Amino acid sequence: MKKLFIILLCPLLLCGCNQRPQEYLITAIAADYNGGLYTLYYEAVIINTETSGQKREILTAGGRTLLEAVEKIERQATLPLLMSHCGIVAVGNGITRTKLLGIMKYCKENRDITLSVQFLRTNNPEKLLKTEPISSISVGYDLVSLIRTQKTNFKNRLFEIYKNPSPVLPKLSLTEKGYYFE
Amino acid sequence: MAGNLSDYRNKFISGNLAQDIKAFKDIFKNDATLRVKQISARKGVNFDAALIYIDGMVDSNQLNEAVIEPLMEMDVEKCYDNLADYVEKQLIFARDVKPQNEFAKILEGILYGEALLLINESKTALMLDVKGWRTRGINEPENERIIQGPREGFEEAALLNLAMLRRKLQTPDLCIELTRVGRRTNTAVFICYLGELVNRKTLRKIKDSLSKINIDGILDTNYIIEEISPHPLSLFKTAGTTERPDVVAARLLEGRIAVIVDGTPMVMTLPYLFSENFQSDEDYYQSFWLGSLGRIMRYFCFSLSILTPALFVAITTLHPEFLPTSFVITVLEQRAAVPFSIVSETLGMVLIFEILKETGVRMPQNIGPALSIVGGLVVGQAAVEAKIISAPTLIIVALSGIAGLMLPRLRAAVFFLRLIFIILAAFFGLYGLFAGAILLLMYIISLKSYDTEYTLALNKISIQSFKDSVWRAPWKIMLNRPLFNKNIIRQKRK
Repeated sequence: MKKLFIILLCPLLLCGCNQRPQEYLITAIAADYNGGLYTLYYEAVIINTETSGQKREILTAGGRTLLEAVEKIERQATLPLLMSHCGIVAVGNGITRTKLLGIMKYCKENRDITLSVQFLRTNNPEKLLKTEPISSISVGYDLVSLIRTQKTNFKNRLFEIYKNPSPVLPKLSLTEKGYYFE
Repeated sequence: MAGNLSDYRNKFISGNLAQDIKAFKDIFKNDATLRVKQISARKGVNFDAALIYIDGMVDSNQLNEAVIEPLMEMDVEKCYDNLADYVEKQLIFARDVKPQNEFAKILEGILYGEALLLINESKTALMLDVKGWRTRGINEPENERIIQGPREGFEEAALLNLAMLRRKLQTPDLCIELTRVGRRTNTAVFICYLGELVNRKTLRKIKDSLSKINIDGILDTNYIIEEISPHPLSLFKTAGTTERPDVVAARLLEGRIAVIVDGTPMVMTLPYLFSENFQSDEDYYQSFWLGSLGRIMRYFCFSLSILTPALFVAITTLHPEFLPTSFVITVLEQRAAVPFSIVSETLGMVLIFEILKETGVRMPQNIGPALSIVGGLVVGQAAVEAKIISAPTLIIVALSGIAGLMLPRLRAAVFFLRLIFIILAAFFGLYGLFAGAILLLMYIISLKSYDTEYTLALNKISIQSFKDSVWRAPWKIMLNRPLFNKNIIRQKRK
């Protein structure tokens, strides 16, 4: 009876240990390629435990290959990265079609990045992510909402891109008034 | 009383009044409520008798008017040949008079509120039915309140309960069998059924199980349920209980068996199917649209109540990708300053909700609502503001708790399943949750209620089998009784 009691009690006591740590919630990724270097920007939302408020950070790293840049960004991040809420991958003009397919392949192989991630092209990915978001959350979140309202115009979700070997990404332009799709 | 009734089997009345009175006084030597009244006829010279009864269990007025007075006015000379027979058949006005000479039977009668009349030089005593104990009266059952339909509920006296049942089922086919259970309480247990509808095999099995009970005392129906249940450790009830005569009558009409225990208003009905947990008496007293809606809602609330907290734990702990980004951020913001993990917080809240519910039920009626307000609003809100708990957890647990209130017959199952699912979700996420749900379904399907499959009504996918389980069909469609019945046709249509 004592053994049974202990067996029943253990799950009750131990299940409290299964706590999610504080982590970076990545809402958008931006990538560019210049002078033989990939530059990656992660837009991260982090919840402040003291004020219960949220703040936004842009994590940046470069590398000769995409994987090297990803590894660097993961190494320098002080908290674990939660990639499952990344809804946007914005690529700059330096990303050619071959490199874009490489990024897409990476996204496909990374189980944490969902298959509903949206790809778009922009002249300056860094500037895009560093813009002040319209919503209180993040630029990535705003862009997902924007694309959702205009989704009948685009057929460029990742799974559709894979069917079409020469994708044409929707181009996002950034102005002082905000961003819009060309 | 010294010893048990079984100790007095094969002991008989001697016919010597003084000796018999002494014997009864010895038996009840530690019982201050025993009354012995000696009677002699005014007109005769050779008539001596004694009335023995327990104070408070007999109707004093009836005893005086129907027994003592006629005895005292009796003219002994006219009936000298067979005095006991004359007293039994011509003199006493009591409801029922039975000659008896065995001590065990006599004691059983006295303890059940009958009076014993001992006549000098007669080896046969008379048991007089002058029962007259106080009862609570017929009230609406607190736990089974309805808006439409009959309002009367059973009370503690089994004989009155039987009368209420008889009033609903005015047919000679209603069979009522008496048995006594409990070595010391010797509680009267009545087995009721409709002879033409009952499944004899189940009836025999229940009678066998009742006869095998060897317990000190039976104070409530639940003693019997746990003693004879084929699954005594099951979270799900395999025997129905109700305080309403209309419900018992309806179940007897479906070929079920009712067990009425003296001393409790709870009546047990067998067999009991899983779908009965989701039925309410009111389903039949209002439009079938409303009845069906209520029933479907109860199935939904059962799932909601046991799965919502676990789903919340699984998704927020192990599968945050399933939530929209804005909602994840809201949950994380709310939880940022809470010192406990989501699992501990949810488990704690479920327990606190249960404590509040229990105290609300046990509190005196005028304190209950105040306690609910203090518990629900003040403590809840203060705890959220003090960042001891987070608002989303509070909402989820409250939602689950309120949904659980829709299913009073599954209280125990809902509470424990909620805890089990939360623990499964905490360790294994959605995989654990769904594996648990599948195991639960398998377990429910494997249960039996006295030879009858617990999910009998859901075994066959057809309008007739679903008509009174998943939804409440209009009476015109309910042509058949449940499948365990030997006489399945409820009504014939031309």
